Amino acid sequence: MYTDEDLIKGCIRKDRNAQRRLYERYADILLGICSRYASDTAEAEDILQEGFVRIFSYISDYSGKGSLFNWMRKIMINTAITFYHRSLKHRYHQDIGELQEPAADEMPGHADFTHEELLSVIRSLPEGYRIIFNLYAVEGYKHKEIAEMLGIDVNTSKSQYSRARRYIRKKLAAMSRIRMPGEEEEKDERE
Amino acid sequence: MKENNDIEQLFRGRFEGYRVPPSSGLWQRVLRRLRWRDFLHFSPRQLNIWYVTALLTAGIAAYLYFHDSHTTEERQAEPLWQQTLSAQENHVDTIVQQHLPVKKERGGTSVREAEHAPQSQSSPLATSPSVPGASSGGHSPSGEKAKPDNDTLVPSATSPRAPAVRQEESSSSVEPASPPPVASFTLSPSRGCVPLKVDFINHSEHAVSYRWWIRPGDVVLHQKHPVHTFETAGTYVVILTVSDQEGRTAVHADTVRVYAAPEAGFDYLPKDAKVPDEEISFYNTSQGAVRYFWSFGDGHSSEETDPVHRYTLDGPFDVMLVAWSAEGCADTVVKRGLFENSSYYIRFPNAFIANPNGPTGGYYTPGSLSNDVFHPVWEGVEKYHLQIFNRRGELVFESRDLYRGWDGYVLDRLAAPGVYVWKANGTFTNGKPYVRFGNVTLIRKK
Repeated sequence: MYTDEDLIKGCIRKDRNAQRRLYERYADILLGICSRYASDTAEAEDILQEGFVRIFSYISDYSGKGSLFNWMRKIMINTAITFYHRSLKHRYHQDIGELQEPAADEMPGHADFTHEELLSVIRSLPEGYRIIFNLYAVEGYKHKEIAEMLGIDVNTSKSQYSRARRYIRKKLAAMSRIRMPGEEEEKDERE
Repeated sequence: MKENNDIEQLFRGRFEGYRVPPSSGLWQRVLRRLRWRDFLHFSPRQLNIWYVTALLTAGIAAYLYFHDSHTTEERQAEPLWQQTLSAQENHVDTIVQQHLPVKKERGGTSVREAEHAPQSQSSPLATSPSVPGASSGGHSPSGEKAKPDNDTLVPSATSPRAPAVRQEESSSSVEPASPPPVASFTLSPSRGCVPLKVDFINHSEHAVSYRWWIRPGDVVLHQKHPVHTFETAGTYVVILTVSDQEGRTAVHADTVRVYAAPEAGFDYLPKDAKVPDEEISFYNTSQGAVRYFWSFGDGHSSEETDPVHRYTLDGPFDVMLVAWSAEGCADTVVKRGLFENSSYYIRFPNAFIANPNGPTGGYYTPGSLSNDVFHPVWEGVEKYHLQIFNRRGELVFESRDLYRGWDGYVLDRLAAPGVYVWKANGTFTNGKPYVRFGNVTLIRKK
């Protein structure tokens, strides 16, 4: 079993074996990240592919400070942002205001939503909102950092985030009502 | 605030360590991208586009150099260079023979092979996980330097230089002593109406034998400049194959269009029209024609398809119809002597044989075939006055009765045989006047 360090050294030498091992070690967890940013699986894999090419190309720049995974995760996120910027040129930019917001207002609490359900909710967001929500809520970036990464205003990041959040909350509430209309009490207990 | 945290916790918790297995081909996609990237970026240790370009340039230069001195003894003097050169040529040759996707595949695997070598030599991963990779600089040059000869030319298939090299090479292997034959000809004319006589004008160069093949029909001609007449309408392909003394051939082909000719024809009604007076309808029965020209024989003409004509003169008339097809092919039909026996006419013969047995009084039976009385044939004549003069200008006969002609007697004596001049005038039943004159020969029966 090779350590990350061995693999990094192999990758710096452009050793295909080391590259493949690094890929096999991290592909699935990085794809888990990519799929939150992508609108479908194919796009997620495109991001992953491009991200790995970048990882192998710039691996010599990896300083060794911080974990390799975090470094790669950041590359993946940046790649996703690049994809988003690229797609801005081609896609009709949809504003969240145009979305039909679900007509529920209460948060269902820790309902056991599956990954697929949560992904479908994230993916139903317009791309820009999805990225901001991911960066802030899941990755834990600050709005200031997000604004720099996306090249937008801090207030834009904040307002879009809160709108995305509100939208997601309502959508989740609607989903839980549809899914288990008779289990309201049980959920309350858990809460 | 609690709600806010709920959402973030929900997502963060759910997606912490969330894994999605990538599809099986994804690593290959990454690998392809990496290879391409590496290939495009210069690195002294790695096979890349710069090596390929450099080697190609060197190869071409070397090739050109040896091609020049091909026949001299310098070739023997430097067998080493020669070997390298021919090895490269072989490489290029095999590359070009392959299809593009295959080439790419080959390029990929060869790159891979090139890089497997140093890895297996050092194998830092396999033996000791902690061995630093710094040794790469030490061993790789030996492993890599040998590579270019074998592998570098393979990816060159993607480079535009490869075909150029091949061209050079092929020209050297053929070594043409004379220029190859060129097949070329023009057809004069290349299109026209059936029957079409076509001159095949040969412009071929460096050829000694010719084979003309006309299809359909499979006519084969061997003259240099043959002439062929196409008897049937259609599109024909003329294929000329020329060959030179060395048996090299060249082919040229062209087409001949032979258009069908129309068939002109017409009819008219009424058949017994009174000319001049009655309107006559002409009916076109032409086949394969789109344009017409009618000549009615009285100086009038028409371009209508089915014209109507009213003659103002006596017949008979020669009516002509010319019909043209869409391609301009023409056919002509002429009907002669039309309306000869139509109404309103009066015509005189130019000779008669007098009855020697005595005067008959000149009365005759219309339609009779006897020829001993000089009288007109007529239709629709109302008023009639005939005068006959001898050569001295003396009136020898006069009649206002259509049914009474001249029997050749003057005052009960048979007139001298010879030429007499006559004049007839009057009106037809439609009121139109007529004047006729001419001469008639009196013949005496022996």
